Amino acid sequence: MARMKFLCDAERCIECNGCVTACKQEHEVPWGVNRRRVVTINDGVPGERSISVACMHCSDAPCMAVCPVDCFYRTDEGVVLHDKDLCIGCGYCLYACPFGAPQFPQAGAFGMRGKMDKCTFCAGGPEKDGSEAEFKKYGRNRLAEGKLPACAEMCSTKALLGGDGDVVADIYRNRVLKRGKGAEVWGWGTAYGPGGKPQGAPAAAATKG
Amino acid sequence: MQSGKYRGKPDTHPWQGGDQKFAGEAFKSGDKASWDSAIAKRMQAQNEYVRIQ
Repeated sequence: MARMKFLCDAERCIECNGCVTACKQEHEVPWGVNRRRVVTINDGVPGERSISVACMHCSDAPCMAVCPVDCFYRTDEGVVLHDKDLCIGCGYCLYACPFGAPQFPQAGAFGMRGKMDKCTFCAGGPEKDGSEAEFKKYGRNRLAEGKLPACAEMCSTKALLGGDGDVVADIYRNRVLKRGKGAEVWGWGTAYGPGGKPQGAPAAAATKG
Repeated sequence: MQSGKYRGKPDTHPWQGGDQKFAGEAFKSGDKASWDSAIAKRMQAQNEYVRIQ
């Protein structure tokens, strides 16, 4: 049985936010809700790294553990989903989630939280697959169409991989083995020489006295 | 479905299809094996080493 997972390759992520845009567009996510976000560490500093973060569909999901109305469930493919009709908008899942995946649309006045919304791995929710009701509540169900999440399929550098965890791991392992490490990542050692010095750079000229 | 204490509405498996108007010929509704192979094929589209290796 496939266990669906995401993996974002920090070496390839260029912070284009294509994944964010794809998700927003695909599911018509309301303003203020960010199912997927790109987090950049040391932004602007050489060596910055970016990672695309959304619901990680945890095997032992803390959101599911803390929900007071038990509105979460995990499908046979490992996708963590919830029933918005049961959700009371308490926000406990947001407190519990280490990734900040649950989002609240601020649907009403006076700080009312509204129903929780989060990444569904493009697997919709507990409504008829492909129906209008499912689209309005949870967004498009791409898995029921034999497709992968929009964010992963739209990733410009294929940094964000999504799908069966075993296959994702195989793709990523092959990638890491091929590209090497250190100065050989992306051929930097070939272009700039080991230790950052260009290859074939002339030695400092001796001064003539 | 692994639901534990889940008290909401039941959900269906993705390979059971549903409204197929956007699925096209990707897989046969109700056939898990064809869904698995459609997903596997899509996954290799994320791996450029199948082209350049």
